[in-house]
Parts: sequence; structure tokens; C-alpha cells
Amino acid sequence: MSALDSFNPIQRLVMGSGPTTVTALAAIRFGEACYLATRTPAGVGVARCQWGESGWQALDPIGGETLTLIELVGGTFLPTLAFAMVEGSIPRLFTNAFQESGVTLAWMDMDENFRPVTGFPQGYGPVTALLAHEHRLFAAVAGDTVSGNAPTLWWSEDPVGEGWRTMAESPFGDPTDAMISHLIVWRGQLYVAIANAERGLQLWRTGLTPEGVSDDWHCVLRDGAGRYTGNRELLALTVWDDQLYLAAGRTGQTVANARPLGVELLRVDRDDRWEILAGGVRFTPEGLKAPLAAIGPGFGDPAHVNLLGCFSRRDALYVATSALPEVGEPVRQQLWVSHDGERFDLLEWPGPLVEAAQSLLTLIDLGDFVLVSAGAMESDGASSSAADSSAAAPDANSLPPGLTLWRWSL
Amino acid sequence: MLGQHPQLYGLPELHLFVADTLAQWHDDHTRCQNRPQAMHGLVRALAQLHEGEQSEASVRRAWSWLADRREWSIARIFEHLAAAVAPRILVEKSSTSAAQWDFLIRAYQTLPQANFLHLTTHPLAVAHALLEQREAPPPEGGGWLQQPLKAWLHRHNAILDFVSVLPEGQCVSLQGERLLAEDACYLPQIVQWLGIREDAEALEAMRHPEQSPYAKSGPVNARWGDDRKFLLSPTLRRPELSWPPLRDDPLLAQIADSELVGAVSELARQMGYG
Repeated sequence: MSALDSFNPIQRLVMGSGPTTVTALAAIRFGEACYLATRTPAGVGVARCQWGESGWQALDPIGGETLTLIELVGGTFLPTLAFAMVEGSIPRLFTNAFQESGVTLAWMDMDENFRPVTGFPQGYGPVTALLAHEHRLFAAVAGDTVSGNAPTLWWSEDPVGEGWRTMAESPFGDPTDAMISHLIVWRGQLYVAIANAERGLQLWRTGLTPEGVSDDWHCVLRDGAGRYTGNRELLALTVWDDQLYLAAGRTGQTVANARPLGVELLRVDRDDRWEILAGGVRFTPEGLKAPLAAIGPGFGDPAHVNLLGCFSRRDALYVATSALPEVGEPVRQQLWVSHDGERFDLLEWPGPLVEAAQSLLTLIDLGDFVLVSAGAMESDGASSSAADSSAAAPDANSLPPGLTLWRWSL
Repeated sequence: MLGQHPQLYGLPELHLFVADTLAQWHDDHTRCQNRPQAMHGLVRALAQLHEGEQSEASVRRAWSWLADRREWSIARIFEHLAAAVAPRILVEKSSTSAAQWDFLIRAYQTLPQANFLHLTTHPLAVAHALLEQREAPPPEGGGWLQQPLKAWLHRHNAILDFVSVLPEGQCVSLQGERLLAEDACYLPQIVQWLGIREDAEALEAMRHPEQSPYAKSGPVNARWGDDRKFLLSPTLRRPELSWPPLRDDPLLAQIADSELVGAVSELARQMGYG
């Protein structure tokens, strides 16, 4: 285990109190502000913090005259919270975070608040993933059991207008059990990750065209990369060192699960060859697969079922996981780094995070720094930790109770 | 199948892991379970390895040899068999080995260096087979299906619990149906995993289980020792791979025990039978 100097210093932005109830979190930098979406049992909230100013401001969409609540994907999957920034003469920020308010897709430019994308096609399930690429916005929508529509993809070069286009036919499976969870563009190809509750995750790709995407879809991974529903869904998808890295596993596991299914790390190359980096040995239609890093599921501990983050910084790939909680035991969370994609070393967490003794929720790469979110322990005794007191003054009124945010700078 | 590889030796079903010693093994199969035919595999193997044949006389001498060694541990009898086939590696495939968690632990304690291949079956394969054998239509309500499904669940849960404590890679799972239907894809992977010859000759040998000295009925004093269907017709069977999705299977829909159906479906999906 080695210290990671490049991640210093770390600043505490907000220190909440009491146990947190955040179950999902997304963040993005837009203009001079950071936007944060958080899901709790009470619903999704979106807040903004201007750098250099104190406090977080809650945001709501305005201008939606007829808001009909849409039914979220039933049972198995909840849409991930997503932001996407479309570049252009006027950069615009899009989010799916207001779906529970009846706004399928919302946008804003540099003004004060979000507003509904009124031209977005109706009659589908919620938006489950967003991707901005070269002035174009891609929005994945869930299938719909009533209409029988499969999960599909819409895109537009004028996403606040009416000109949305979609695929001729969706190859992505049954509307009740599949959901598009991640989108990414790599080497001129659009990659689409599908969460599938019956067969395990899939990864598809197709070429980008001047009109949008080609109809020539190719399945790169299926059946959870041979782990079936052990890899029910993708947890992260990122490009590093000209290869595609995928963290896969299964959300929603609890200590009641007899056999935890730890996070796996996979890699796909430009020729669609795939390998397991950390995960289980298995026989597959593509041959015997053994983890190249010689590490099993959960990076050697199957109890590590939660992915906190998977991102690259400079010349290294970072993967953070946490284990299912054990009563009376300290939270177990690990940070791994690799400089070649095949050998992974365990890193120490920075001192302030260790002293705070909180359960980490997410690590989100925001460019110049990593935004770390954490949940306070039962009695938030860490509020007097050694965190940098020059951080923005905590004002968590518009954030969920107990949520703590850290800015981990390069 | 695997046992026909030139570097492997396929044993009949020995059913040894039900006990710690040969005496207990004998008692378990005779007094406790009342299935003396479960002992046929071991005496046939001993007759074959001691005398090169499985005649009534050689089997009788194998019974006698066993009777003189009732105190032997299961580990010791395996050492004896391994020495007899060396340098080939034993392939043990008794159906009872995975019947209970403690049988699996005994297998590991006996053979800690062994590779374990977990061959799965569709949860309704047994039910469909039973259905084919029925002369009359099954009673309504699906009650008759519950026992085979519970047995399937119990067996595979025991195996997966066992696997979860093994070092990564010592046990690998594979759908049995897929192995039989797509042997050209999966046999090379299995030999690669085992670290043995991967050449065409070796792989072709694995496709001929009928070449095994145990691929037929034994003499009258040790008639069985393997799956009876196989012994009566020792050929590779190519199973149907096109199972309907579990949620659409009419047999599952008959079962009122939703907890059982849920548990079976969940585990089956983890094995690729979605």
C-alpha cells in the first residue's frame, strides 16, 4: 500500500450531520458551478454550488405546464441520475434528474434554472442515460410494458427543439427486464451498455453517422460477460489508455445475500476482444477467461459489491469499491490504482477521509478534482476531523441530511 | 467424457465422499441408504486396475480386497487408485459428491489439490425428464414438481457455498448442456484450465466415452457403477439448448410455492438459464 501524493490536498466542502439516506448521486461542473443530483427515499433533489460562494442552492424545473408523472422502470432497475453538457456557442446542461417531478428531460444554459425539454418524445419510459458528443445529445429511454416498446435511443443536434431521431429497431431486448445504463463514444463508435435482469449485462456498439447512428449494431458482450446475472449490470464505463474499461456487478445486494457477488473489472479492446482484469475464472464462448490481474471478484474480496468510482487521472486508472457492512465492524472500502491496466496496487485513503470514518458513496471525476461523497456514521463524531477548514462554509440545507462532500484535488 | 483424455483416468461413480472410512462407506450404502449398487463402481474400478478386467471372479476378489481394508480412510483408497493410474489424473464424478455440503468438504479434505468442475443442469431438466416417463398426465397443481426443484436448489446451493470458500479458479462452473452441445468450444477450455494436452488427438479421445472400460454393464456381482441410461446405451447425447425463458415455462407457472419458484429462478439465472 502506498500513499498517493497527487491527490492532495483534500478539502471538505460540506459536512452533514446524522445518517445519510442518499442512494444515488451524480455531479457535473458547468460554468463556474458544480451541480449535484441526489436520490433519497424522499425523491431526487438537484442542487448547485458556485465556486467561491458558500452554500448549495436547490433547483427545480420551471415552465412545465402539464407535468404528468411517468412510471419509473419497475422493480429491477432504477434509472441512474445523469447530467450531460452539450458544447456549442451556448453550452447547455441536460439532466434526467427531474423525472419524478414529471419532467423527462430538463435543460439549462447559463441562466438560473432548469426547464423541461418540451420537444422530447413522449410515450416512453424514463430517460436512463445521457451522453453529449460533438453538439449532439443522446438520450436512452426505458422500455414500456404497455406499448411493448423496447429500450431505445433518441438523439438530437438541437436537443431543446423538436428534431429528435431514433433507431429504426431496438436490438436491446425485453422492455420489462432491460435498461440502457451507460453510453460512451470511443473510436467513432457509440457503445451502449444494457442492464438485463434475466441474462446479465450486454454491451453493444454501432458507428456514428452524420445523421446519428448506424443501424448496424454489434453485440460486444452478452450474458454478463459469461457471469450471467452475477454481472447483471454495468456499474461504470470509461476509456483509458485506448481501451474500454468496464466495472460490472449487481446493485441492491445486502448482507442477507448468502453469497455476495463482488464487483468485476473487464476490458474491451478495439477489436472487440475482451478480458477479465479482476473477477472469476470462467469458460465462455470466446474461450477460457482468467483475471489478468490475478484478482478475484470484489478485487479479491467478494464482499466488495459496491463500486464507488472508476476513473482515470493522468497515467493511471483508479477503481474504488466498498464492502457490504458488517455489524460492529468499520466500513471496508478500497482504492486501487493501475498504471498498465493489469497490475493493481492498493492505495491508502487520504488522512482526512480516514479520520472522518464515513461510508463513502461515490468518487466522481470532475476534471481538476474528484468529488467524494460520504455518509455520516451514526454519531458523526468526525466533524472535528483534520479537514481543511478553509473549505467553503458548510451549508447543507439544500442537500440530503448527513451527506458530506469532499473535494480531492490533484 | 473428460476421463477419456490420455492424461486423465475416468472412474466409475465411487460414491466415496459419503463417509470417512471404507467401513462407514459400506455401512452407509447398505444399512443406511439401502443402495448396495452404489458400491459397484469402486469394486469394478479395483477389479479393472488390479487385474485388467471386470469379470465375476475379479470383482469377487475386489470385494474381498475391500473387506480386508475396512479401516482404510477414503483418502487412502484414493491414494491407492491414484497410484494405480499414475501418471494419469483421476476423474471422479459421483452424483452423491455434491449432494451435501459435508460431502463436498470431505472431497476437498481428501483431495485438496483437485480441480472441481461444477456442471450445472437446467432446473427443469429433471422435471421434463420425469414428465416424459409418465404414462398418465401429471396431477394438476404442480405439487409433483416441488421435490425435484427443491433437490436442484439444495444441491447447487451446497456447491456454490463450497465454491465460495475455495481459492479463485479451483472450481469453475459450466452448463452441462452446453458442454455436450458445444464440446468443440468447451473441451479445449477445460483441458487448458487443467493444464493438460490440448492437441486434436487428446480432444477427440474425450468425445468417445464409449471407449471407457466402464462404459457397459459389469458382471452380475457388480452390474452398475454409472448412470444406467448411459451404461445401456453408452453414447454422447446432445441435449436441447433452446430452453424457454424461465418466466414463460408452463411447468414453473404450475407451482404455488412462490418462494421456491423465486429462489430457483434467481439461482438458475445466475447460471445462465434465464
